[in-house]
Amino acid sequence: METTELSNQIKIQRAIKNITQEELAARIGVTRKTINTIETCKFIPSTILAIKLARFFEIKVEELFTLVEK
Amino acid sequence: MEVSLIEQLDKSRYDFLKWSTIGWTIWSGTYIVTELVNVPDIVLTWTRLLGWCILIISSIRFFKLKRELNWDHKMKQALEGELHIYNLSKSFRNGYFVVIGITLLFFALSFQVTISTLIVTKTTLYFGVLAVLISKIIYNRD
Repeated sequence: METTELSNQIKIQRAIKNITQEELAARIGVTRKTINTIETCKFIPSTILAIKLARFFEIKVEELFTLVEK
Repeated sequence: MEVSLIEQLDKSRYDFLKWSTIGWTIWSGTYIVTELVNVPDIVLTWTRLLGWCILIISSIRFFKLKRELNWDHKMKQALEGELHIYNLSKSFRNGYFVVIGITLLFFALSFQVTISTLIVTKTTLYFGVLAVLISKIIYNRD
């Protein structure tokens, strides 16, 4: 049976912007753990947080978060 | 928002959880131990006192942290964000299942032996709270 997983580009986008998880967390207004768990796909963020992240990286939400069929 | 302050407060909260778990384990644990074995009163009193002290100190730290957070709304939002709420609900869910499990265990045991209501209450409360605290510590780790 096929399963759908959410993957993200946060690590890549962070590297492009050259910022740490801690700095990103402070800019978005969350803890570093929140960024870490989203980045490692352990936690799926709310729509609000996803939009905030996408706005920060100046890309579309669906570019930052993508559904992967497995 | 200041980066290191969020992390400091997050660490304070983690420490509070850790010490509350230790305090609860020691203090409340003595009430279960006394039901099973005979412990000298002096040992019991000092152990309970130690558990109480740990609980009180960690509670004071917690209220200090809460007061600091109330001054800064943004910091409060960051610390009590969605991951915190998500982990909290998962921890309470675990506690709920532990309570149900222990209740079922005692229910099954009650067909074989007579169990006092007090030990059932103490054990259920002890492991229920402990399960919530330990779960939150585990989920709060990196």
